Amino acid sequence: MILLTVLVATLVIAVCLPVLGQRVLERRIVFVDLALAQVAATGYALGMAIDVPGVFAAAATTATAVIFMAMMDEETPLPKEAVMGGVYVFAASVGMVLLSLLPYGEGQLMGLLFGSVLGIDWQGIGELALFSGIGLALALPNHANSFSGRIRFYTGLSLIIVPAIYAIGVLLVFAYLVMPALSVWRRGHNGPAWEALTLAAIASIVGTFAADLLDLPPSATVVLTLAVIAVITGTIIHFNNLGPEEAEAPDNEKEEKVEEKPEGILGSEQTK
Amino acid sequence: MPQLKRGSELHLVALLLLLITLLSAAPATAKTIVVATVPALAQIAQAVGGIDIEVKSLTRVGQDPNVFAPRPGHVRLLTHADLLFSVGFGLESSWLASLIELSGNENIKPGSAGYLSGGDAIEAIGVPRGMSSQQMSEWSPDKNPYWWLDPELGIKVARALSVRLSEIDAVNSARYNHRLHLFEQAIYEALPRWRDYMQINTGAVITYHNTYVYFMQAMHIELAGFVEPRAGIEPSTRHMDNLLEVIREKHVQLIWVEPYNNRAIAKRLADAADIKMMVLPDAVDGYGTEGYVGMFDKMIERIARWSQ
Repeated sequence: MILLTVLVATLVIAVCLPVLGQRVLERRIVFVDLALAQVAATGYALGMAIDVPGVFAAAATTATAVIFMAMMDEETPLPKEAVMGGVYVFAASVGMVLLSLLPYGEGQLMGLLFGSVLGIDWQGIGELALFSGIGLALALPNHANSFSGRIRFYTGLSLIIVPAIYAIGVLLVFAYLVMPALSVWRRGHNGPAWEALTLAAIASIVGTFAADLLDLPPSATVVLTLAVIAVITGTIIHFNNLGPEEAEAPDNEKEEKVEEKPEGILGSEQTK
Repeated sequence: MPQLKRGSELHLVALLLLLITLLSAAPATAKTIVVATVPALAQIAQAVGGIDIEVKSLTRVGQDPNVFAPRPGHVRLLTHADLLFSVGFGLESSWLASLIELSGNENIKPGSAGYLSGGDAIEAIGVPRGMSSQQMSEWSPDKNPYWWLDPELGIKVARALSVRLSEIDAVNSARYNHRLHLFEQAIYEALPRWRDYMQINTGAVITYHNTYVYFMQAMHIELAGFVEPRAGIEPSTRHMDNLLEVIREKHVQLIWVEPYNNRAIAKRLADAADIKMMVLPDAVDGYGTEGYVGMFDKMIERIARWSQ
């Protein structure tokens, strides 16, 4: 019974997150999900400190962060990852200071940041799908590199990511956002979305059943399965693309090497 | 002349002696400062020490003592402490040792007269919860630190505390002993009532971690299982589905969760089995015996209410 909700929940994110991940990857803002989740959690703690319902406070701080991020031009000379990292540590530190002042804050903030796929029920899955649907509708269509365009994109992004992390945890969200898109990434650009989506869905099914069979924690097992499938797919795609195109455009060789780097980083994250 | 010289030497010695006496007398009149690591231990210390000691608690009600992040103020508290009263059995292992080191207070180091932990007075049971596997490897795996949730173990440790306080502050020894007696009396009076209440009101129970194992033993409550058997490690779907079976077989009606734990998983299990999940405190605000006994009163009242 619980196996079934876990399976469906991981399938829902397998459908929603990889496509979004491709948008995130091409903009080089991978840390945006951690930053947004942390800002929301800090907002929740702030809400408890000033006696405002946590959800509203979280929405307010997340909206502020969205406006802040949207102010940054997409062609900005600033390294965007560094800005996202900065937002993350700033929010985390504010949260820590707030928590130290709140006697009961700790558990609730942890609960907000680290949801678990085991905790989600059918209603939660419905909400997750609803938020993801609205989020994708906002974030996926091409947007102009203007303030309003970027606001739409980041709003969509936060509508998917924050509830998803709250419902099923950072580990799964981060993995499904980054790994499938990275796996089908080729020649410095995104690969076809259906490929990313398919391998994500296979990982959900295989990972969930493997965890149940082997009596292992589902989140981590699904992520590991996804990692294995992503690496295999990525390797096949990589060698398939070293064909005639390579001879035609030797300039691409440089890009190929750049492409390998993120996968290496991902690999080391997994081993941690 | 030599006699006169000797006389002035004597005066000097007498003056020095007087000064030493005055200086050493000053701290003797000050109260013994006891710093407890968790609120319930502070209450036990207050129960025994009463107005003769000053008690401070490092963690507050609702805080998880496993992952406490001390601040500079906590170091200062320890600097002036005469006695550090800790739970032991690894509960504070991730932060207390460095805090003692930082305080520079030699009197409260483990092994000295100013350090008393539950481990000095009682034997522990079960597997500790809330520890990382790295911490686990450093501690004997058969130790559960939540002894203060068994009132009789509370009494045992209070006895050890009374002896230790009498050593540090011999003048008030009789008063410590008297208060210890009152503390024991209050608990022994309430214990049968608590047990009766629990017998009527609760069957087998599932808890999130093994925090309440002592409490359940003391109150004769049957433990049906843990939601998260290994702290910090997400349970498997198979474990969760097995628990659903256990709930059906043993007619479990309640899942207890600590105030500082993630409730989503326990709530999901409770909803799937159509039973209730409740947050059970492991400490409440309050002073001395009243506070400590009040904690059990509150726990029992809450369990009884949720079992309806």
